[in-house]
Amino acid sequence: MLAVTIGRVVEILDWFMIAYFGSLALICTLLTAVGWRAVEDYVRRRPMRDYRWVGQSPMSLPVSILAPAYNEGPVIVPAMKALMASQFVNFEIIVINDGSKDDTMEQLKQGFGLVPANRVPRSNLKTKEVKGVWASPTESRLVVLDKENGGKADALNAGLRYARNPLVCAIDADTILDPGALSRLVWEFQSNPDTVATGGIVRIVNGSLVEDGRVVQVRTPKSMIANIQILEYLRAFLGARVGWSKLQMVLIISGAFGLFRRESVIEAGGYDTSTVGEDAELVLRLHRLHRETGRPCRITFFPDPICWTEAPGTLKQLVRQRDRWQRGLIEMLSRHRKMLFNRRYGRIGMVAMPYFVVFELLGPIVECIGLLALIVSLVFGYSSPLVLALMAGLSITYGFVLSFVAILMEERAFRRYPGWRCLSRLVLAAFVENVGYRQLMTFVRARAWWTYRRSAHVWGEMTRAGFGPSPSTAPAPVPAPEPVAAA
Amino acid sequence: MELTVGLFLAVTTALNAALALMVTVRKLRRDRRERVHADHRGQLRKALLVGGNELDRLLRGATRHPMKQIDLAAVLPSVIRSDGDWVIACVRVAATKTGLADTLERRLRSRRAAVRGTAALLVGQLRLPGGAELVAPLLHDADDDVRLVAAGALGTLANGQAATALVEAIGSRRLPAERIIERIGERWATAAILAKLEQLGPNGSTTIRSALARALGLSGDERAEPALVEALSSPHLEVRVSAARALATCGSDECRPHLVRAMNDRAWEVRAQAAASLGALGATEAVPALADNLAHPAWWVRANAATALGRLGDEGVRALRVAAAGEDAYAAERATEVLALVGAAA
Repeated sequence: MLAVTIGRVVEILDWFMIAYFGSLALICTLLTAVGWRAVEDYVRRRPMRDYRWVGQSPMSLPVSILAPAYNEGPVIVPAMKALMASQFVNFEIIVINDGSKDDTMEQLKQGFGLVPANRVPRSNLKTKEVKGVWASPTESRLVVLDKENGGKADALNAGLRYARNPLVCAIDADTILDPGALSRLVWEFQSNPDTVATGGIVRIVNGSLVEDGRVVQVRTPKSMIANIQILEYLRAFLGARVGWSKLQMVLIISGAFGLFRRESVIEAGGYDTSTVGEDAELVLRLHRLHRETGRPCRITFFPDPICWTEAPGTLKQLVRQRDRWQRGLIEMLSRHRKMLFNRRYGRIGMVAMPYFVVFELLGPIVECIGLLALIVSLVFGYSSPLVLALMAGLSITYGFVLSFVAILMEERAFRRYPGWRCLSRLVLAAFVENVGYRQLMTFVRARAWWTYRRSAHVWGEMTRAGFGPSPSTAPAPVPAPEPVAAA
Repeated sequence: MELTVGLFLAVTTALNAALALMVTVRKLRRDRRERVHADHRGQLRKALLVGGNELDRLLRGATRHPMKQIDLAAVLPSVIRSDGDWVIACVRVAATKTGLADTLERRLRSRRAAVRGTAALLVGQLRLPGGAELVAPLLHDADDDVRLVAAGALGTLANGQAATALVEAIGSRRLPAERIIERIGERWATAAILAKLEQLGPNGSTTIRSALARALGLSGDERAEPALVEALSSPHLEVRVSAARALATCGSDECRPHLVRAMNDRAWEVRAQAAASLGALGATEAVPALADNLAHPAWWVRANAATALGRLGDEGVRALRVAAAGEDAYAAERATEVLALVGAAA
């Protein structure tokens, strides 16, 4: 009797899994197809877009770059000098020293000869105390805020208060922007005045050659973990996010690189300091605000402007990062659950959010249950091993297809990994990730529900190797950000 | 069952192998195409400088192949930069002779936005005769990118017709005024702008007059000075602000007294712009008016007045020192900051 019941449960579970993953595959295929078309359209339009002009025109919308810095002493001055070499000329940089415990502030003072300045905050966002505002006599585009430690979101809010320009670009102080990246993002705002926010692609710098804060030669790293992450980023950005953007349903703009309309962000209340996913949460809040007030809200993703960032090089760091991302997603979706299946929020409430809840939020749990059911089926002989092999083969094959399509899109449109060695490493990563990596990440993301309940606002540590010219001459590791208590 | 599974596994393996092969083939093809285009661009670069039959041959090729037109669009700016008018004259003749000009004219009416846009870009770069008339309708195109390219192409054509087309497009809902101002903010467009200002008169659209004043400011053309001085007394705030800003680049000694008077304008926005312009013009006679405005309630007026004083040499620094030691906390604060920035002690 028990065996029959278990058998029945397993059978129902099997059908549920088939329906669930079948739907997911269908959606992913549709998104990738839409993304492919969007990338093709972008490639066709590229010759007629004069981004250089956007960068040099005095009438281009000016940008305030917000660069929060916590214990970035060894890299802060070269990183800011590299930013100043951008092709886009109409910008100011606001470095926010978020109560660093190292010599970040001293390095900035020495590097740019800072003097105390009087700058009036232009909004009433609440932040930890700003102890001082500093300006450089030699570099008029640089402003430094020295404030008490309050976390990244609080630092960004402080930057927003002092930003003068209509567009604000939130970046991490240790990321590298391509020289033309800002011009490309600004183009989005200038070609369509309804644009509220736009994000660029984040790529992984591990293994590439970096000189004077510029990526001079793109190479894939030797580490398979880093290569798999490169592939994941390609799939996520070129496949899914371009597709979501084309359908006007972008829910996530990476915190490492995004451009926002300042007034809209301030009206929405700035970055939320009580979440670990402040970037995505802000995007959802912008959608919500604009739809509630009946104003157009165009939030896009643009696959060409590139920001380079360092990916976790070890499994331990990677696990922490993914745990944090998943917790951020849980927080974001639970806070805005009112939007779910609410027609008032249009396609965001009726399509994008349900997808994120069903497949991104609950997906890892469903997948874990599926794996468990698989093991039970095998052990108790409820399913034929051949059928299970069939399902596993189908799932892995589908993963390959998505990976190869992402690589093809990259080859077609951008060719950032020009060498055969790079390409072969990525193809190899597409195979290797199915053996243990995907399963581990599924487990980590499912476990995030547990860590979310225990420690909702802990960032986790990330030890950076730095962007040296070569591994042998890389600068000393930068201490990790300090965990911030919930506000 | 075993057969089905075996077949399935064989098919999936074959599919994966095919995908890997497809990536490889795609890369090979892309590599080859990149080489072909690099060669073609190299040939174009040489032929553009030399002219003759080789240029005719390459342009004839471009007439047939859209990708070769894109190569031409990519190469032309760098060649024109190095050897401007002569190259353009040669290429224009060759483009007409080989039929490229006709092809571009047809492509301007294409149903595909990318095709229209690329054609407009080339018409501008080649400075084709009558190009302004051909491109002007695209300022009202349905596609965002095409409108921007059309404005850029008219800016490159840089003639009276192009200027008139751009000036007339200011106020269009489909193209932000800034995108036009940045193109007509040069001396070749001044005559068209002044004519439009005259046509509008003092009661014309504030937005358009303000945009035109900003464009004149970008051009730095001294012919605009009388019109801008007149605009300083406009009843419309937006126009006064734009005029005060534009005089920073177009103004001469003549306009300085008017700007000093603008430091008493009822609107703080005008005062702030006038202060910045006086600093840029090096108007030392404005030091007292600027010093008075250091205590203005509006932060921007205080900031710009202090910055301007910092640019006016010893007299300005003296005024800043007085303000830094004075009782007015606002004035002292701004003065101290600017003194530090210009490297002078309070």
